[in-house]
Amino acid sequence: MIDINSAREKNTKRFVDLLIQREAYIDKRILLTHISEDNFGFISKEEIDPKKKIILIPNKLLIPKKNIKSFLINDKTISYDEELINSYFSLLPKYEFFKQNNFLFLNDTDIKKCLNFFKSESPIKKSIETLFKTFNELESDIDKYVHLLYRTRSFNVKNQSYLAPLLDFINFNFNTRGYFVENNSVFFNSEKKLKKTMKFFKAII
Amino acid sequence: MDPIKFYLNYSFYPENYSNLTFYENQIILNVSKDVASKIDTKYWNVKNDQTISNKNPVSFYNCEVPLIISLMFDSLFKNENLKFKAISNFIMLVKNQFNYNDVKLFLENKSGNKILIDFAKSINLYISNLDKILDNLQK
Repeated sequence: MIDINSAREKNTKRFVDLLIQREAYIDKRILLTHISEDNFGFISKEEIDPKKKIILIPNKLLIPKKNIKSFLINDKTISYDEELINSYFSLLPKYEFFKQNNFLFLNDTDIKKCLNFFKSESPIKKSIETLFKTFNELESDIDKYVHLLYRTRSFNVKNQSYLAPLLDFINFNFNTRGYFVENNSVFFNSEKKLKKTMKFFKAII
Repeated sequence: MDPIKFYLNYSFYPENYSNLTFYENQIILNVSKDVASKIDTKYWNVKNDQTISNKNPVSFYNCEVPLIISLMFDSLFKNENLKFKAISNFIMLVKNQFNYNDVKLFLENKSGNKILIDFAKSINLYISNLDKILDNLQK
């Protein structure tokens, strides 16, 4: 079983090279870089015109939940790209990061406080109660970790949730259109001209 | 998506996020049997003869009132004032599900942990977006 809290050797170049070998496309003028603890992002090395495809991930590289779980519990009964997932995993936040920062890890006192912001019959309150219940019913830390990875980073492609290595390192912006789904790939393009050394962003849609 | 959903998904406060979406069956209205029988089923689901709910998601981008709202309510009310009153009443119902004074007091004191503070800020932003939608309905 993989230790989801252990320190990981973070090698962005190796990760990007692996994806390119597997037919992902990454504009050469952008660079995946360390932004802060447990957070990576892209910067542009040169100006890039709008509407250009900047990153493209073929569907075969999208990672369904069962593959990540199999990797983490070292289950060999399912076939998956272990080298890629291993490299990708090294750049993902540790479980401890979620424990420190995620809403679903509030303690009982704080959960009570947050539910008190709502009136008793509030639909949003009910949905939050369900959210906590569902999360707390997950049996293991691995299950909770996988749940949180997909909750915070996954992409919806043909009504299925997938992790899309690389695409999920683009930071959020609320004013752009986000990612695009084609028949055989998922891609991101910039709506605006990217200036040199600019961090760039995807939208939440 | 809306500021609260955003926070619940990603656990960071979406500063300046000014969109708000009501997903299918979130807009629920009680109407007379007569109105329910004439409803445009392209936009509404009808339950129990007198309860209707939105068939499609309705998104308010930048808190602007979308065209679909007008189309949805066209089959309910011929009178524009009644139409916008019904939409406003629904938005007020959504707003009334919060103990807003508790949220404001909590944010003034900021005595909780960061997760709780950011969550309260997201609720505050959600309510502020509802207020902007109400303002835009008046225009």
